[in-house]
Amino acid sequence: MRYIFGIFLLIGFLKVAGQQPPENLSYTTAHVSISNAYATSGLKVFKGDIADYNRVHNTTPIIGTTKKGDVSTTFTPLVPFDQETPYTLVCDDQFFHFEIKRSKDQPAMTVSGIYPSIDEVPANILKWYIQFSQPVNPVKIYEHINFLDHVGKPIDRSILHLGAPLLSEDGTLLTVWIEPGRQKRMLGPNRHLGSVFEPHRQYTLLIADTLKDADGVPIARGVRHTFTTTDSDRTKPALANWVVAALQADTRQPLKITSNDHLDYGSLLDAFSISLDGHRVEGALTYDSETTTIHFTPIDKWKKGIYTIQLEYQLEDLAGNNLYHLFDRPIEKQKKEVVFEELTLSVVCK
Amino acid sequence: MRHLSLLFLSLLMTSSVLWSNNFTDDFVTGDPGIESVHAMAFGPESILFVGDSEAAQVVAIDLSDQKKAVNDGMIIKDLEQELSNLLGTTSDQFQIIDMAVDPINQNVYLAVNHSSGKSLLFLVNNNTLEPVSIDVVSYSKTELQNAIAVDAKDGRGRSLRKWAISDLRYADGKVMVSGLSNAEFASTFRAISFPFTEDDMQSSLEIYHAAHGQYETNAPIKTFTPVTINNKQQILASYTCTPLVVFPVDELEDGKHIKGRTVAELGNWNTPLDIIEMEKEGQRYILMANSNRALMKIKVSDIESFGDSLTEKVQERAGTAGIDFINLPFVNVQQLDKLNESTFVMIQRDANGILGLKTSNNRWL
Repeated sequence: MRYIFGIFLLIGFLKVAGQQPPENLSYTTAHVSISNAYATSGLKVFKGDIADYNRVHNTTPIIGTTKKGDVSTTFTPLVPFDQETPYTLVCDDQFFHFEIKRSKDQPAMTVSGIYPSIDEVPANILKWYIQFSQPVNPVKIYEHINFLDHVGKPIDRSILHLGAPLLSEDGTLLTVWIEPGRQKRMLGPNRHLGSVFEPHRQYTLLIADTLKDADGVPIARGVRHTFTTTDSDRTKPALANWVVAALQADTRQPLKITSNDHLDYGSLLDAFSISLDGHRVEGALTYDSETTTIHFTPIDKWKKGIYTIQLEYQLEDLAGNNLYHLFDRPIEKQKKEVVFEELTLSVVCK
Repeated sequence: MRHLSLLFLSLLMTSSVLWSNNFTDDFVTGDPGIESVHAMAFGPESILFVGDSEAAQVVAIDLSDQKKAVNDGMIIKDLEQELSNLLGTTSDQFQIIDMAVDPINQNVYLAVNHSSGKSLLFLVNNNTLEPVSIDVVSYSKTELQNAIAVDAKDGRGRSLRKWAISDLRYADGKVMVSGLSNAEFASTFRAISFPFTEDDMQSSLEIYHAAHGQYETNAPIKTFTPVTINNKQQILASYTCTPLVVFPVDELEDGKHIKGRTVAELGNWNTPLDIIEMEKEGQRYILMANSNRALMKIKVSDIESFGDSLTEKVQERAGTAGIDFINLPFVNVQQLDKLNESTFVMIQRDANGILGLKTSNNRWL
């Protein structure tokens, strides 16, 4: 009798404490469903483990839509449920707890590339690119990225914080602007704090292990990318310095161009095109910043003729100097500048 | 005579109805396909303009049928906690991107971006947040011309080009949009006629500013507001590299190289975040929220009387130059907008790190 009483007590406790068996529920990050065998009117979902009505009345439920089907009722939150986070579904007078576990097969995000990848960059470099292995969480991303000086001290105001960070469409490539107020000569920050980087020093780009991917999973490990600075680059890139290798007809051998200047990859990709008789050639472009070499591989084979390589004047080098203008330029000198530079090159294909 | 009066009144009402319908005549109901909200601002008749960088578009949403929210004693003490509960997540998974006030009914809206990539719109009502659908709305939209070079692909066939809207405002039949890209360091400033038309030539400008008369740059604009200066419509803009610059609206011609007039540098450690205009007793003021400095108050008359571009160097560390300003006792204000003629609403992080939504009034002006 004593044991039977104990069993009833246990059942009563589970009911009160809301320890309902999880098989009543099915859930993913997108939604949670409960069998219609339970009274599903007034269904609400809360963040956290909630087991009493006092907390229910004092806690804001998660926003979402509830839809009753033939077998079960489904709650779809406005944004996906987090992983490794407890939630409580409350309907009628019952509490159901669930937590979405992270799959052990899901690899943690890593940094797969940092560009420019060269060891030495000009002291007035204007931007960096960080490539992640999977979509990164863009929210407050700059809190996890910084530059350190040669003794490992964080450099104050080194990165331009944008409300909406510049991430590629697939959410994996982040553009990091160096604080332009410090890079641009004669502005207050530049005059009083100096440039972010000084020539001939060693620095580290730090990506902290607090950074998470778009699913809220922490990065596998933090990254420290060390580089050295050279003198500031205050010359415009010039097509006159480009060396274009000959093309071979009826092949898809990459067009090879040596730019002899460290170009900004994102800018190059946007500013470069090649055409034959006015028809643009489709293909893929890569840039080796170590050798300053552009490779353009066409989708279709090259044809005999004279191809035209067209550049937009906005093509920039690592310091933000474009084909027409320096990143910042003395106003007096500017009047004497020859504004229009050559923007096309020709290459013969035999 | 009575008939004539009635006829006149009737004509007046008809024309009034026609006029009020002009803005939304070409609106359709459905999903505008908003992929991201990077900036928003209200135009006429409760039309909310949304800057969508991902889809390279500006969407005009008719919110005139939204209920009038209860705004008495508006305060949300812990906005991040409120949003965390509503979204079932933690504050490192979302970001408040922008705030806009409908001048018709003083409804306050917040745009929130979630780490999943979803953008959400909330109405502040009775000191809570209510979601507002942006999936099924009455809308009109226009693509941002040449926002993205369609053929730019890397070695793996991906587009790396990214353009982000940094601010957006409406004035005198134009939606003005500033932005920056990862391809070049330059101002991208567009003026788009509204109602949107397919053949509208969007003005695209290069706006330069000088640093102490020695160097000049075509730099991205961080935030801006239209303001009448010396009886002329002008744009007061702050740059990512700190200067505060004025340039005239009537020079917004496509492709034009405009040189803005630098009227101030507002400190070395600071980036202005939001700019609004308020008025008290006939005197107009600019209020400016900043990343690293207190809320600033600037007299419009001081900008009007500041004749030339800033040419003298700033002497002190974190010093300022140009027009005078007064620091108001509000620090860490991240979002700022005019609620009504006498009140402004702000989102402010307090000394304990808690982000709250609150109001203040023109007794500070």
